[in-house]
Amino acid sequence: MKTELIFLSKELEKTKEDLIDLQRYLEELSNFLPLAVCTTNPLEIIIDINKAFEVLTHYTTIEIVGEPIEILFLEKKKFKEFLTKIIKEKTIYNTELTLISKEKKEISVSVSGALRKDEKGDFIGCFFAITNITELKELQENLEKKVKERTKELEESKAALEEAKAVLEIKVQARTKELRELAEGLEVEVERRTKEVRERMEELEKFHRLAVGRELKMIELKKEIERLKRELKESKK
Amino acid sequence: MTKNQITKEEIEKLMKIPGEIRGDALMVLLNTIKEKEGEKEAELFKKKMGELGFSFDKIDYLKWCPVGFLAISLLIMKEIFNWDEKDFFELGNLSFKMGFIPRILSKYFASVSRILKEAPKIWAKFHTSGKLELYQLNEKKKFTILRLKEYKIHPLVCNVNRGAFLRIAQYVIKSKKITIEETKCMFKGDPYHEFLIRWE
Repeated sequence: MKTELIFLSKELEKTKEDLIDLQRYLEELSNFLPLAVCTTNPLEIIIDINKAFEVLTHYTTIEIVGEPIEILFLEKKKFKEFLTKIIKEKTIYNTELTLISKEKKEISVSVSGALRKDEKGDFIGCFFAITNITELKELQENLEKKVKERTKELEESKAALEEAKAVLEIKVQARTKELRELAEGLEVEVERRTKEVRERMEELEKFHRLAVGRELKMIELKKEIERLKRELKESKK
Repeated sequence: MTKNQITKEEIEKLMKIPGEIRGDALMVLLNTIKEKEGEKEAELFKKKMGELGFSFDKIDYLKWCPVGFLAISLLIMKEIFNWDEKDFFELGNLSFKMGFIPRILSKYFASVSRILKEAPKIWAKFHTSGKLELYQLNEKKKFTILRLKEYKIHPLVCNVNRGAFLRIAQYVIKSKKITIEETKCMFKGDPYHEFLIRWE
């Protein structure tokens, strides 16, 4: 009996030490966790928060524990619907909301919620994890803005290109017409000039024939003159 | 000697009171002082307690400490900060927002009936003396009566308990108007402490 009591006492002491270690571990984990976490009871009253929650909201434990969680969000109705969904479907859900800090600053956040149950399976509240998505949202908005601007630029460029294309087409048509007319004009001119050249050639050929005839006649005459000169010379002898 | 200064005799008398309290209940007092009065004031309080031989550095959350430590802590706070009843009431109310205790009790914060019916069990988790009972709960008429028996530590502790019980009610009753009144007190000759909580 005494041995059993001593054994139980030692076991109890060990259990106490384990509990203290566990409590310390939980405390350290809660303080370390960079994710803002809070616990609510079934009346949606905040009953516990961690260090990251204080950093995000600027509320201290004493200021926010005991307050209804809905005071933290701008979209009260949306939060209520989100909470109803978690409780009804008994699963973890996620939504985007606007957090209102202690200084009334609005912060875009992503909120995840999960049901808490006791050992009997009764609903005893919820856990909420809150992430600041301001930077992400700003990045998203900037990207969308840039995409919009570039789309507008592209559309304007496209419109300008189409306009330029239309103008070019008109110009090309006009120049094509000009060239066609010029080509037609040139053909006529070429024909005329060809005719002229042909006529000149004909004239030259005629003149050439005449010139050659004259030359032949002159050679003949020269030969006759030579012959006559020879005859004259002979006659004088 | 200042007006509120605790005497050696008083300390000895308080430390002889039977019963223990969880270390966490004392640690949250220190943390609440930090929040309420500031870091410097909390250090001053710790130092003063240290001078009397009571070290907060040696307290562990789940370990038991003499209940007299609680009363002495409150008397030192009165001495340093010149607190009145209202301040100790606020101390009890705020301290129940902090520490390990609310986390352990969170499963009871599901409804007013659940937490009040479990009140004796909850009290016993953190005290080895005293018995907290749910005397009456009338949700229709919106009031409840708690009785704390065999627990006579110091009148300042009554103010702290009043604040703490109100905080528990505030966790489980969705109303802006919740009030608490100590209708009976052992320091006034009554056989037990009685707390009447009303809400609208």
